[in-house]
Order: sequence, then C-alpha cells, then structure tokens
Amino acid sequence: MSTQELLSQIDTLQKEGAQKLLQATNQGELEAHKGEYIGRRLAALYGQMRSVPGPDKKAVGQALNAAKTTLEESLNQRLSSLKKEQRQQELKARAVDITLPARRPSIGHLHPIRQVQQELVGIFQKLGYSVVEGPEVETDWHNFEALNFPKDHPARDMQDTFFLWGDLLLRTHTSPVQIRAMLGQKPPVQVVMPGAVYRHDSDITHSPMFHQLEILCIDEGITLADLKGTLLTFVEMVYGKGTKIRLRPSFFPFTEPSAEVDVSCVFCAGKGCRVCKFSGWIEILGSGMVDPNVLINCGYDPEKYTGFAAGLGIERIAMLKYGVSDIRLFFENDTKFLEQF
Amino acid sequence: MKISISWLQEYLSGPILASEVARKLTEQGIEVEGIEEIGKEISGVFAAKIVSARPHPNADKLSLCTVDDGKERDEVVCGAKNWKVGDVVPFAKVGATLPGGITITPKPLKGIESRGMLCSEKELGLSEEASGLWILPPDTTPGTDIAKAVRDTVLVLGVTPNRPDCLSHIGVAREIAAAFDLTLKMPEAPLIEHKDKNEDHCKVLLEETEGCPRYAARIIRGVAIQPSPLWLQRRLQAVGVRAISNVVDVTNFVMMELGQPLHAFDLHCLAKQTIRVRRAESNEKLKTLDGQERTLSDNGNVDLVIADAEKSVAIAGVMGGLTSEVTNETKDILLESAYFHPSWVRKTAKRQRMHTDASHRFERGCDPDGVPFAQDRALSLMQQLAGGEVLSGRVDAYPKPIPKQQIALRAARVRQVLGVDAPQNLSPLGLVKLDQSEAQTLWEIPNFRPDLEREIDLVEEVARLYGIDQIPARVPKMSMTTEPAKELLSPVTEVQKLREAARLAGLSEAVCYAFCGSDVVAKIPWPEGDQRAQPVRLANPIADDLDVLRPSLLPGLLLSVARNQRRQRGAVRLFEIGRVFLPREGVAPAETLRFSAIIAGEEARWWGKDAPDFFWVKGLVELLFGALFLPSPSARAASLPFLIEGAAAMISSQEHLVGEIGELHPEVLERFEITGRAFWLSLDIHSILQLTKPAITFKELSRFPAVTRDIAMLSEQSLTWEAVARCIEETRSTMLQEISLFDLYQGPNLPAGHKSMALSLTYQSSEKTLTDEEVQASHDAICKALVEKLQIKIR
Repeated sequence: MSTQELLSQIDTLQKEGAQKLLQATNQGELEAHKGEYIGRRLAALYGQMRSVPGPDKKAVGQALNAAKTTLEESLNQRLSSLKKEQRQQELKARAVDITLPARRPSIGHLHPIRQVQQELVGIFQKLGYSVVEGPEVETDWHNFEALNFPKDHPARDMQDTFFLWGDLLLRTHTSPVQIRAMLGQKPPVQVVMPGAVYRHDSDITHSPMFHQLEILCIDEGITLADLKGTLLTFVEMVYGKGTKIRLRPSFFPFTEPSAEVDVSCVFCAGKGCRVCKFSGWIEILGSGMVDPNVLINCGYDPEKYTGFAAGLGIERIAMLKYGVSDIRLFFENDTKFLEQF
Repeated sequence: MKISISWLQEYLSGPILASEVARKLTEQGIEVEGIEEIGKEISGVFAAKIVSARPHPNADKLSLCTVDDGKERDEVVCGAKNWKVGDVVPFAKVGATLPGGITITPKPLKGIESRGMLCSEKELGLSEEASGLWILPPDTTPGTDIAKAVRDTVLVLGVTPNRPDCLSHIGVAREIAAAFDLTLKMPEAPLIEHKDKNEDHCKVLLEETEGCPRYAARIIRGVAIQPSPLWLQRRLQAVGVRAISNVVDVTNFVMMELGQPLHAFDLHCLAKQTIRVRRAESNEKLKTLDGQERTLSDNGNVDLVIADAEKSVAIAGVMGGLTSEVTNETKDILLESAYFHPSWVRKTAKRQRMHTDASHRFERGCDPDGVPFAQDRALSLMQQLAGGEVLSGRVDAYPKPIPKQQIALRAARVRQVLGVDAPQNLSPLGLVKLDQSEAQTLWEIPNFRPDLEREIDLVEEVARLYGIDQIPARVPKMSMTTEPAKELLSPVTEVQKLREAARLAGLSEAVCYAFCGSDVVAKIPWPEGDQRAQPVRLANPIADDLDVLRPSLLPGLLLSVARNQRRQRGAVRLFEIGRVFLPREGVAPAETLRFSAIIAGEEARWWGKDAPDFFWVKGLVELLFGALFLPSPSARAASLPFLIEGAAAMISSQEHLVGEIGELHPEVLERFEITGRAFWLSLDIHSILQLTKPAITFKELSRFPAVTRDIAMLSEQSLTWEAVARCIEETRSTMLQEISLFDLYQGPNLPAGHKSMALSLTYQSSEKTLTDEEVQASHDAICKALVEKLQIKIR
C-alpha cells in the first residue's frame, strides 16, 4: 500500500470512526464502535507502520496519532453525553407531583381555651408576674371565708357552689389561690393564677366548669391608679394600642373598692355593634383593691401594704375572640370544632 | 330590681332623664341591665265600661260586650271570663295599635264583627298577666287614654348584694340626688289617729331578740278591701308586682318605695290579737300563702316564726300563712313592720327554698330605723284608699336599739388606696359628718347602709362619687424580689412543651369536664384495688351523669372519641392535660396533673394506611420525653384489665413509675360504643418533672473508621428485644458503639413459634483503627453469648 493510500485510509477511518462513535445511541453500541475503530481498525493501521518507507514514517505516525486522539475524544465526548442522557432519564423518573399532601401525621390542634390561656398568661409573665396554681378542691375557708365572704351572706349566692363533704368544695373562682400565694410568701407579691373553676350553673353562656385567670399584685404604695395602668397595658397587649378601658364600681367581697372593667369594643372600635349590644363597650374583667380583711387573713398589715387583684373568664375572652356563641362547644371536643383553632 | 323613672321622679327636687339616670347609676356601680319603655307602642286604647253583654250565637266560649268609652258605644267579641257588666276595662278601638305592631281592624269572629278588642295586661305589654281582661278600678273615667296612663320608662337594675338600700325607689333616688346635686324628697305619712290605743288592742311578745331585734305592730280598723286605683296598679305593674287589693298593694308599694317589707294580718284571725315572735316548735307546720305546707323545724334547724297566742301565722321575713291572710271580708288589720336578722332570714329562705321580695331584702339587710316610718306610710295610704281608723301609738318591741356606726376617714388613706386626693363629701349619701380635722373626718353611718362598716368602705364611697373611671392610670413600680412559694409554682413552660409536641405529633387537645358519671367510671375495669374505681363524689352534682370527680382522664376521652365517631369524624387522636382526683381518707382528694391521650382509628392516605399501633404510642411517649430533654423511659409489661393483656405496659424512668400505655380492650371500647382499635397513653406530669435531666458530658469524637457487622438470628417468639440487647451489653465489649434492630420477621418459612431478628452492630475505637481480627473477636464473643444464653440460632 502506498503511503498515499495509507494516509487516505487513516483519514477515512478517523472521519468514519468519529462519526460512528458520536452517533452511538447507547453505551453498548459505543463499546462496539470503540472495539471496531480503535481496538481493531486503528490498531491494524498502526501495524502498517512497519512497511511505510522511512521518510514517510513521521507523516504517517502523526496522522495515526491524530486519528487516535480524534477517535478517543469522540469516544469520551459521546460517553459523557450518554451518561448525562441516562442520568437525565433516571432523574425524570424521580420527578413528583409536588402538590400532593405531605407524608406525615396531620398536625393537631390546640384547644382554644388553652391557646387563649397561654396568650394571657404569657402577657402577665412579660409584665413580671409568676404563674402559680392551687387545688381545685378547696376548703370553705380558702374559697370564701378568707376572701371576706361571711357564712350565710347573700354574696355567696353570686357563686353557686359544688360541695364534696365536710367543708370541702370545688373552688368557684381562682381567688383562693390569692390566699395560698399570700400565705406562702412575703410581700411583694406579683402572681398570675390560671385554672379551672366550678359553678352550679349550665346554659348557653354558663358551663359548670370554666376557666379563669386572675392576677394579684401587692406591695407598699400600690393604688387603684396602678391597677388601672396595669389593666390598660394588658388590654393594649391583647387587643392592640389605642384600646380603651372603662371602670365601673361593682361589688366583690374580696376587693374594696371593686370595679368591673369594660374594654372599648374591638369589633366596632366603640361605635356600637351587636357584640357590644350597641354600647361600644364589652365587659371582660372584674377587679379591685384587695380588701383589708383579706390582707389581715393572710397575715399582711393592711396599713403598710396595699394591692390589687383582677380576674377574667377565659371562655368569655375566647368566645369574643373567635365568635363562638355556645360555651358548651368548648367541652365536646368535636374534632371538626378543634380543627378550626 | 325594676325602677320606674316616673316613680323615682316623685322623690327628686328636679327633673331627670331616663338615659342620664341609667348612665350615672352605671358609673356609680349600680348596673343597669335593661331599659324598658312601657306604653310606647300603645295608641287608641281607652278605658270603657261594659254596659251590656249577650252570649255569642255561634260560639259558647265567646261573649258579645257592648262597651261605652264616654263618646260612643261599640260591640266587641270577647273571649275572657273574668269580667261582669259594669266593669271598666281597656278597650282597643278600631285603628288602635298594640305592642308587637298589632293594629286593630274590624274583624268577624265566628260570623259577628268585633269593633275592637278588650285587652289583658299582657296584650298591653304591661305584665305577664294574660288570664283575663285587665279590670280597671271602678272609678276610672271611661275615655281615659290608657297609653297616657301607663307610659313610663323602667330601668332593670342588677343590684349587688351589698346594696340593699338600692332595692327601693328611695334608695335609688338618693344615689341620683347625690349624682345630680338634687334634693331627696321623702314621702309624707299623714295619719288620722283614733283615740283607741294600739297597746290596748294587740300584744307583741318578742321572744327571739337575735332573730328579730325590732317588731312594730299597728292596727287599722274598718277598712274597705277593694281594687287599688289606677295609679297604684300602674306603679306595681311597672316594677313587676301583681295588683291584688288596696291593702295588700299598699304593703307592696311601700316595700318598693322604702325597701321595708311589711305584712298585713287579718286582726281577727290572730288568736287573742297576740303576736309572738319565737322559734318554731318541733315539728311545727304552717301552710304558707303559696298553698304549700311547710315544716318549720327539723334536725336542729329552726325557723323564726310569727305566731299568735296559739299557732304560727307567718315565717318571719319570708312569707305569711294562709289562715291570717287579708281577704275581701277583712275589716281590721294588724300591720307588721319589723327588722329581722339577715342571716336568720337567709337560713330559713334557703332551707325552705323560698325566695321572696321580702326575704331578698331582709337577708341583705333592711333599715331598723326605717321600721316606724314605713309602717305609718303604709297606714296613711291605706287610710286614703280603704278608709278606716288607725289606733294611736305603736306597739314597738325594740329592746336593744341598734346603734349607728361611727367611722373615721383619713385623707391619707384615701390617697394610699386610690392614688389621688378625691373630695370626701359623703353627706349626699345620707352620712352625717360628726367631726372634721385636717387629717380625718368622722362620719355617722345611717342604718340603711349596712355595707359601710369600715374605713375602706368609705374610701369606696369616695371613689364612687369621684368617678372610679376618673382615676389616672399608672404602671406599678415593683420591687423585683417577689418569690412565690415553690409548691405553688406552675410548670407552665414544661406543660406548654408537651402540648406543642403532642400537637406536632398529630394529636388535638381536648378539654373535658372534671366531673363525670360514676356509671361511666364503673364501665372501666380498673385493676384490683385501684383507687380509680372509687371516685370522689359530689354532694350536689349538677346532673346524675356528672356525679363524681374524674379519677382519670380516660372516661372523658372515651366519651369524646365516641361522640366524634357518632358524628363520623374519622380517626380521632385526642390528648388532654388536666387534673384527676383520687380519694384520700379524711382529707381533700389528691389532685394530680396528667397527660393522657387516646389514638383511635386509622387514616387511609395516598401513600398507604396511617394505622397507629402500640409502637406508635410508645414512640409518642419517647417524643414527649424528648420534648422535655429527658431520655426515653422504659416500658414494663403490665396487666391492666382495661388494656389488652400483652399490649399493655407501665412506663417508668429513674426507678419512678410515670405512666401507662397500651391498646384499649375491645370490651371497654364496646361499652362506650367505639368501633375499631384504640390506644391509650397516660403520664403523670409531676412525676416526670421530678426526673433528673442527665448532665451533658462531651465525649471526644472518634477519628477512626467504624465497622458494622450484622447478625441474623432465629429465636423462640417469646424472646424479647430487651433480653437480646441486655445479653449483648453484658458482654461489655468496649468497641461496641451501637446496636440496632433493622429487621423483624415472623411468619411462613420459619419454624412455628419462632421469629427472625436482624441486628446491626457498630464497632469503633476512639484510639485506633480496629483490625478485622479485633472486630471479629468481639463479634464472635457476642454471637457466642447470644447462642449460649438465649438459645438462638445464628442464620
């Protein structure tokens, strides 16, 4: 074979081989072409080197090396593109409908009473109050006597009571915790007391069990003005800046003076609506200055120490907040109800 | 308490507006719960005399009445029966309007046209009285405009129990006078007295002076019992009291006017015209005005009674007896005006389950000094309306007059409590200034204000008059050293963590009543001797199915799950954090805070079934412990009859029992009508919070490679994982870092009663790269121990 012929064959092999390799549709075909062009035919042409005349050796050698490089490059190029295609194929199978529901137990829901309780407790914690609790089965002394409800006084009719035996009863309010808190420490006292309370009463707005939250603040120099400031801060934290409060004198045996506290209606900004019965105000709290008799019953000197207490019904706040009109729904634990909170 | 504005006006020196009165009363602490406009919706209704009547030809129950309103006559169909020809009644003429937007049109009734309508009190919106026509007093002039006669505004007051004085028009007028700077005008009680003396015609024996500190009796002779005039009927109607007859109406009128309950006895029904105020005798009985026979003493509880020389005739301060009632034939009356002790009346009223206008006032405290005036005021009105002669003098048994209190009010105290210097003039409220210095004022308290006993009570009066809403707001400066008693501190932070963890695990929070039914508790098979089987009873449950305090959160949660299933709510996963109550001998029940949950029902999802099982619940326990940064507790097989044997465990940690878990027994579920499987978890929160959090000590991370070796082993089915793990740990291989169970198989292809477990053991050293030989030696030792001690086969 003349050198000319040989160079022509090398050129043909290079072109044909490169094309075949680049056009291989899968790895098997690529391997086959590799064997054919690089393994067999290129090797055969290298074998011809021996019979190439001396002066031509260099040119042929260069042509062969160039062909080899081209073929190997083509091979590698196709190999990596085939791998890429294959990876793409594989990944296509991993694509998902990302809008499908997540795979986990559905997240549950916290009871609205507990959510409201937690929010309110949290606010008073920020204001420096410690959270304390007392028993739900109380003695008559803690629930009534120490709180200045004399025996056989009509004030007791305000709180229809469940009795156990002896002088034990279910607490009708969280106020006995005030007594326990005062007996358990020296002033100053600054505590918030959430908890379940019980009254012999049941209808659409009264439940025999409900929840209250109460605060007590005692120190030297605490006045009604401090009560008012604290309550104003509290309602602003719950209902936002600009919420107003209104105090109306009232009667609770354990505070004197006593006041009911209204907030400006959060639904109509005080303009008047159905929720506030067109008064612009919603009653949410009972409060007052701790009665000196209560301080004396707890061993505090009422001439030295003064303080205030305030309490609210958690269900009432929750009913207002979420627009629930029947208190009994809170205790049915219907999951369709709970899911809404 | 209802207050009529037009009535109130009679006691005030200047005009008042209902809306202003309502606002001011609210500001002064007398809550206005409602405002009723009376007669506003009535027009075209006039007094008319029934001049003749004939039966309706087509209906037995109807009559045809011809009425005369002074101008013309109309024939009206009437269904009522309580009238007679000659009565004056309210007549709604054609074109009249009545409450509720009713307009009267000529209307045929059973074939005869009715030219208008004769009205009951209810139809006019005056009271609930609907049993017949409102028979107007006979002297009512036909043609009187009824709307004009009845028009009034009534305030419904929520009077707090400390203010008995405001259970009367005079008391409320006093508040209004103080608020608007008006003068209070007391009514007058002119009497024409007969020369005969009371003391010669009746006797009062006051035998129980604690229960009755003061008893006054006066006689009026020769009264004519008849219907009250329209003005008096209107006054009573406006405040919700039914008019009966002039004498009885006057006693009610004076009670509503002055707050002093009175009682009129028919003098001749009192044996020997004697009043004895005494304790009831044993087994003494009395038929009261409401027709009920009452036992006046039992088990050492003794009512105070008013008796004559022979028998009891009234329950003091509560209700009169039938035998001495004033009737149409009554001529001579003994009028009682007394001051009964509040707690005596209250005890009796509670025991007899009677709550009357009289007892309501006596138990809150009437004015002992107001007794004679109220008596005279009533007698004066009786004389005007019923004629008769009032005997002179008064039989007034008042052996130990109740003194008026004197209270000093210090200006500094006002400032200390209110935070402002508010003016301290309490005279408008009826208090009398006895003495005044720079530092304090001495006040005499009238006896109609029993709530004013201490200086602080006067501070409150100062605040009320100043306007409690006028006091400036200030945020307290606290010394930050407040330290509540440890045992009272609430674990809010930890409880909130548990609640959050449970929520994220897919549970929703329940809140159940703390009481439940003893029958419901009894449906659950508690372990032998378990205290939960003996729940604490309530003495006065609100319902039979809520008669005990819950000994566990289980009953409430079971009922909640059942309720959800009845409402087809699918899978129900509920937890509750709440107190349970267990009995203790002689002391209050033990209250413990628990976290409990029921996981019921499975959910079909697109990826398969979400079906909880024992290990789901066991995982939940570990999750909850993890939320509190506590290591996982251990589970010990337990036998709890309400759980399935073999799928029940007690949970303990650091040697303390902290809870129980398991699958609820199908029989229990059936009793609660719950379908499907359900799992139970209950933890004692306080016990968990007592656990010590392990101290964290850092261990250097190993730089050397770890080697993993697997073991596949065949064993008896009864071999527990715990036994396997313990056996491996007992070999004390220092290289062993981790054991994990990665496969568990029981089923076909295995010998009966066997199971196959596949474990993966990880070996690593912190000092060097382990050689194959070192790992193999350790692994072989472990396999050997397993084979020898647990009789397993390595596969």
